[in-house]
Amino acid sequence: MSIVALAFIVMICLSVRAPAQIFQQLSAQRAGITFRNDIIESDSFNVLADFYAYNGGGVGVGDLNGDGYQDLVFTSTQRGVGTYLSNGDLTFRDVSATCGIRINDESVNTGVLVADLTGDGHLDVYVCRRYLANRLFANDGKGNFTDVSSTSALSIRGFSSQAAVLDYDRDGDLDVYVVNSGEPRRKGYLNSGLCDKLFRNDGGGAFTDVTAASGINDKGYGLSASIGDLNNDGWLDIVVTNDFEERDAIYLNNRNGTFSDSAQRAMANMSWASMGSDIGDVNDDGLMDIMTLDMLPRDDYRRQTQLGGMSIYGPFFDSLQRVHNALHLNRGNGRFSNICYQAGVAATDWSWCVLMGDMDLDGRLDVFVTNGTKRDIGDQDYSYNLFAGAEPMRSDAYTTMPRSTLSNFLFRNTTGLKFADVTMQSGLVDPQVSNGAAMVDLDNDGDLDLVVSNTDTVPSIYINRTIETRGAAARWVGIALRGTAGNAHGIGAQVTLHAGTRTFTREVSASRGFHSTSDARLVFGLGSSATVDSCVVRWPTGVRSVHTVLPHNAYSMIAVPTTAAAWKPDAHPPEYMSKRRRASIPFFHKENAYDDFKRERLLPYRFSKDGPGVAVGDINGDGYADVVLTGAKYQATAAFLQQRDETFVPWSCGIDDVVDAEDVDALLLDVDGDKDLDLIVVTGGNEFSSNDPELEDRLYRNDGKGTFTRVAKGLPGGYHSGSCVVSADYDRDGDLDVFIGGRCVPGQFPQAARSVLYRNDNGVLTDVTDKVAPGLARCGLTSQATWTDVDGDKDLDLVVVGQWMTPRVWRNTKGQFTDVSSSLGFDGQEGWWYSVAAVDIDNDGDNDLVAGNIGLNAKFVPEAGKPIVCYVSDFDENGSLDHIMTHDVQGRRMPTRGRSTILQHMPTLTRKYNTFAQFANADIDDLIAPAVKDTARTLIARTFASTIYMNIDGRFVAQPLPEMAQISPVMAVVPRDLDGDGDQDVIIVGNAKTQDGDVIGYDAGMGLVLRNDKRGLLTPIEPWQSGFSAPHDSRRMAVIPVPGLKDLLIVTVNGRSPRLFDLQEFPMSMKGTR
Amino acid sequence: MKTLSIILAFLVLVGSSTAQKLTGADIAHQWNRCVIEVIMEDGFGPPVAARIHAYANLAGYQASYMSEPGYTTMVGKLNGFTACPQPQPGTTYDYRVATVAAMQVACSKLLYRISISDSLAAVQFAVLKAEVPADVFDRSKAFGVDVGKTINAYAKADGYPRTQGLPDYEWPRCDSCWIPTPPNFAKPLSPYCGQVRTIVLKSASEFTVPPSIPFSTAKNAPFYKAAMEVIEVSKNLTDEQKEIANFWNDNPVLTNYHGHFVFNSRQISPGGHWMNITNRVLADHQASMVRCFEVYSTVAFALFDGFTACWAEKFRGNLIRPVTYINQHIDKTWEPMLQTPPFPEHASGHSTITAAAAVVLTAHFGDVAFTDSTEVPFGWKPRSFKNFKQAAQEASVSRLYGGIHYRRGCDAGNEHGTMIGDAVVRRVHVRTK
Repeated sequence: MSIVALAFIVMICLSVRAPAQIFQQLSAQRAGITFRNDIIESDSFNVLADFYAYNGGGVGVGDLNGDGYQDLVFTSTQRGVGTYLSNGDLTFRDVSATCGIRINDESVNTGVLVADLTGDGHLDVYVCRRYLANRLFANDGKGNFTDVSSTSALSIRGFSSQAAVLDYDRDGDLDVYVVNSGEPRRKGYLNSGLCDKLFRNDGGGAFTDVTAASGINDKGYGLSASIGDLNNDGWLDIVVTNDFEERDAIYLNNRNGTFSDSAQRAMANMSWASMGSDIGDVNDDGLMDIMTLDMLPRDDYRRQTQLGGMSIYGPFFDSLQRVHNALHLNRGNGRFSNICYQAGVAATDWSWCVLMGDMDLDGRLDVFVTNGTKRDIGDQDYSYNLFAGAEPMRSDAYTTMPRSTLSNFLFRNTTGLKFADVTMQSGLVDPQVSNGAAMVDLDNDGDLDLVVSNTDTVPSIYINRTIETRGAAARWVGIALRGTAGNAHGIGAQVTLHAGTRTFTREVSASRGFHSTSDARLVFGLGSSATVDSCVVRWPTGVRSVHTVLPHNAYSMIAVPTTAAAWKPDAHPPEYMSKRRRASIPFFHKENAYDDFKRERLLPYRFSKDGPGVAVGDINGDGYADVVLTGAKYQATAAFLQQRDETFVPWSCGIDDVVDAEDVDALLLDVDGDKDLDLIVVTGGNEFSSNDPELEDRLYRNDGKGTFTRVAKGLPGGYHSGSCVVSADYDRDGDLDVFIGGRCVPGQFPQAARSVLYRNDNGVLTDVTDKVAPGLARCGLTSQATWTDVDGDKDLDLVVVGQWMTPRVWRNTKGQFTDVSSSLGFDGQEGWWYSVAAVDIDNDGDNDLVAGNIGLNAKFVPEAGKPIVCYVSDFDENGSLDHIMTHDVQGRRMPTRGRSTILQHMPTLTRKYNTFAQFANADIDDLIAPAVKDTARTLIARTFASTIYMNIDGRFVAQPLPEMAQISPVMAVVPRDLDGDGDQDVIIVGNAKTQDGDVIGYDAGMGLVLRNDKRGLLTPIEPWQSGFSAPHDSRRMAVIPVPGLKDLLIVTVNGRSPRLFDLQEFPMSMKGTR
Repeated sequence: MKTLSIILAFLVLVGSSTAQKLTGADIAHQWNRCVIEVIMEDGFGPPVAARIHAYANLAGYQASYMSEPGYTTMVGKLNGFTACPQPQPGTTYDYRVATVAAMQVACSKLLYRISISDSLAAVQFAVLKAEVPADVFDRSKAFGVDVGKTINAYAKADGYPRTQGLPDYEWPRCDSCWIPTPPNFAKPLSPYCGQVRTIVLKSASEFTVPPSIPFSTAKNAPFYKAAMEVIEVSKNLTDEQKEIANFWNDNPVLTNYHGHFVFNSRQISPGGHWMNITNRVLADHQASMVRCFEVYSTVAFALFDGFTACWAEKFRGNLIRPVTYINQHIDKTWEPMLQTPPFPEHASGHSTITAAAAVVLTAHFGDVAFTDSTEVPFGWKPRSFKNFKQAAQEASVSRLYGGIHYRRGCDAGNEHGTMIGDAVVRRVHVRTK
């Protein structure tokens, strides 16, 4: 047999075994759809004349003629509207010319809303437009439309993108929110867009513009609005996405006809060029999550060649906005965590429409995204060279711009927090310029089909084959609502299905995604759940109904009951750790403005924002624990005395002698054996030079009454930028010895500052590092350390963690330390570690380690065999260190930073990389000659997951913390038996808005309580249950005993006041999430 | 695209030059045109561009001056320029070959897109190889390479490369201080260029820059009035004034905003503009190779020292730009006609270097009328001038028309530049008596 024939057979076998695709494309021709959205450019209509020229069309879905099948309405950019009625067999008949929906002028059509706006129970069609007024077509119920624009208040001229409907005032009819953008040509830097509009439905198709009184004031370049009940109060809220530098808005319904924008409080970051959006519950916690789209490329080459990044030095930099899709996970405490990177949905290139739907009927909402652009103005080489050299830009310059046809994306929801890109296996690979899209069950078989509007061609129709493939094994429940007279389709209702242990919550929405309206019926995939126990409908007018008999694998009609009980929110569970007491500490951490990247442009993250540290102990001997909080540069470290009424008052005690140092940690301990607590303050920061006197750590001696005196040269180990201080009697002579971790030599990344071990000799601290612990002094860029007995020999060993290093364990053998990390199993565990605590997690009598890492919600994350590697040397020999951080792209180490940033620091590389395209192809071996590279210092990170190291027979076995604990850095870990069941639960906090100039901010963290099941299985308790809610840049934690009352937990926050929490006991019955 | 057109131009040259000899003057002009084009393509800021013009032409001069009697070396006449290779006495050289080699080597360390300069060298070498005996060619080329390397070492020692590794400049904050300006709010351009070694001046601060008007926000204060004048001028611009502002805009990298679409357009730099004028005048005079390099070099030295001295003053004084002052104190919506370049106001860099170059050109050619068509490729009509100093005056006041300088900043630059030009003329004598 010839090799060719053999290969052929192998190919056949492979193709036979290929898994069934979810979607099968139905050609528009077979479906009978001839509609095309051809965008005809001219010198007056193109992306340079109107930057929204290529936003594309939309798809509207609804049963227009009442035959039980969903019909389709398409908008085109320049050629009006196409209307197609379903024949019920996946073919359609074109009624565009006869149905009465006619638009003949040459204005630009954008979004289409299909909803009953006239209150007669029939689906009307509202078309949004640029340049000319929006149009409303009223349906007689048989699919015959009348143009009522001339008499409708909705017929506004607002450069509109899309309209959404919601019954915001609960009067039973549909009010309309119209998203507006602005003038097409935008010069200068002061113009803003037109304000969005809110129209109140006064019945019978009469609308009143109530924008001004409603509190809606969205003047951005709005591209979409999504409706949902975001705070679970039974009133519908509005999410508006705004393009460019105008921020997105979350208009919360104030239940009195007005709205308040809460986006800035609710979100730590959002998409920058926000386009489409959708709302749904991705993790089945009953809380509505938000997804918004942007234009970050997924492919590394396009990431480098496109306008896919944002620099903190960019002219429009906004600390709240980043270039990435956002998946805002609703945390139930009025805040959202953007988990886009960890979820895997951050980058889908030039994206328009996002739809959340359970495509595979496994019970979890999957995510579909459309993308592409007719003219790729993001192409950096194109933009850069448009004018290069000679003549001014010609009016037909657009004709030479490249086109970006891209494959749409399908993400399968695998855990509720993690999505897998299944585009390749889903039958959706078809590079097109795709804009609006709708989810719709075209064949009424129970799975969601997709209709996608494409630019310059016919729409794509994807038939979902889940039911055909899986047959009866695919279990689902379909629900069509019959609401009040003015809202016949129950738009805005929330439906909760209880099925065994699972609960599914969905909301009925008309317009979704971008420019489009999806099927208003709900399809619940049941996954493996056997039966539906009950179905609760929260009607938009505020009543609820419960339904217990629902057939499987069929659509049920649920009508609003005539006598329905009012819906009331569930009684909020008590938030155990919420501070109910009067305790407060009058301290505000004033972080000084310092930009590390100005000194070291290619630094991977800042070192100048480490504090504040905290120390707890009874300073003045009154039996009450007091608190010391460290100050940043220009702020003195301060002490606060605990009063008998739980308050803390500032205590002037002689520790404010230094204000120019960046104090990052403190420790209260009895150094001199006189039974009072002395104080050590560790200085750090990056805003100094090595050996600056501000870097001297300080020892203060307590006079027994709470007044401190600085001990000159009390810590004689030299001037170093430090990270932490921990004490233990390592030599068992009855006094406390001290370890101070070294961080980074300022301005010399990655040179480790000196870590110092001090032996306490009758109150005198002596630097014995090199004598008793060779190698410890330069053990790495440390962040935290702890003393614990790892080997069960009763003396205390030292565990040190830091960045670009493994957790390192120095075993104590009769007062001599050796690094035994390798033999304990830490090889290959290099991470960006920030914290560590020793705790017996699995209740087996030995200490395990909980180590906090940068987390997995990061733009670049190392995977097995694909480390993040940073090469450091003065590659261009101009006297400054160059740091080139790389990530693995198909076996090649590609720079993480963009061409502009790297070339700014290493301009001679311009000689080699004239274009972004050349640079995008360059890996580290191209950038740096191998011989030179081999002399460079190499830093490696192999894991970013926060991890428990289980001590199993003297070796440490890594187990990642739960997914929810990975959404942000873990800067501090406190073990604590919170529920009194005899095991150690874990509290974590942290964020790091301190990253490089392109990717700033790991800020999804809200703090988290992890409950232990006694065997070491940790379950997250969400903030809305625990009451533990610590957003912002949390740094350290400490427990403060309060005599006669429960302890307090203090969380220090960089640049803010510390937060205090009750450490009240949790009930044993409290259930976690996942 | 542009790269291709330059290389194509060279290829045409090869085809035609078999019939026509490649003169030394051709070489001087082709290299200067090449450097001007590549600087635009590379996007160098004005001070760095002037530095490139200076060292490239110094290399050309040192490799060529022995081809004509009456010229001497520049060794000893420039700061820190203490030695340069000499040809072996009694042997034959073709100084065109040496010059091409010297320019190529110098440009390899000065420019980024050196594939363009390398191809120019390759084309010229091919022509010369056909007429120059092989041994002479090789010897001349080796000599030129030595000169080029010497110039590279000399250039490297001026402190500029180190400024690239320095931390980002922290501009001071105060009421009168410059801050980044709209629309791009860019970081300051080349903030350390005032620290680079001057080539002719004793130091960057050798001549005192006439001071700016004392800062004030009071409505009756001269400073406020100066800002009001900028507004008034901008509101009442005549067509000719607009034309003048655009003609002398010379913003090497202009950022264009079309909503999402942000792109850069490139223009010639102020220094490049004057190198181009020099090019035209030398061609009109049919100057010889050495004469060409003498004039190119001295004009470039005036530009280089003009920028260095001006930048030292700009970042010493850190004066607020009109757009910032006006937006803060008078009219928050006012926009200048030209995009404000990203560095402090006082004094006008264009005024400074323009005056310096005009002084040098006047010393070489006297008060001659000329027509400047530098801006034709950028869409602006040619302009004619009675003499160089009139052109310099017009370039200076164009910054007021453009709304990017106060009149005082233009005048101060013009005065400072005149002093610098005079110093270059006085000190760089290369003719033997």
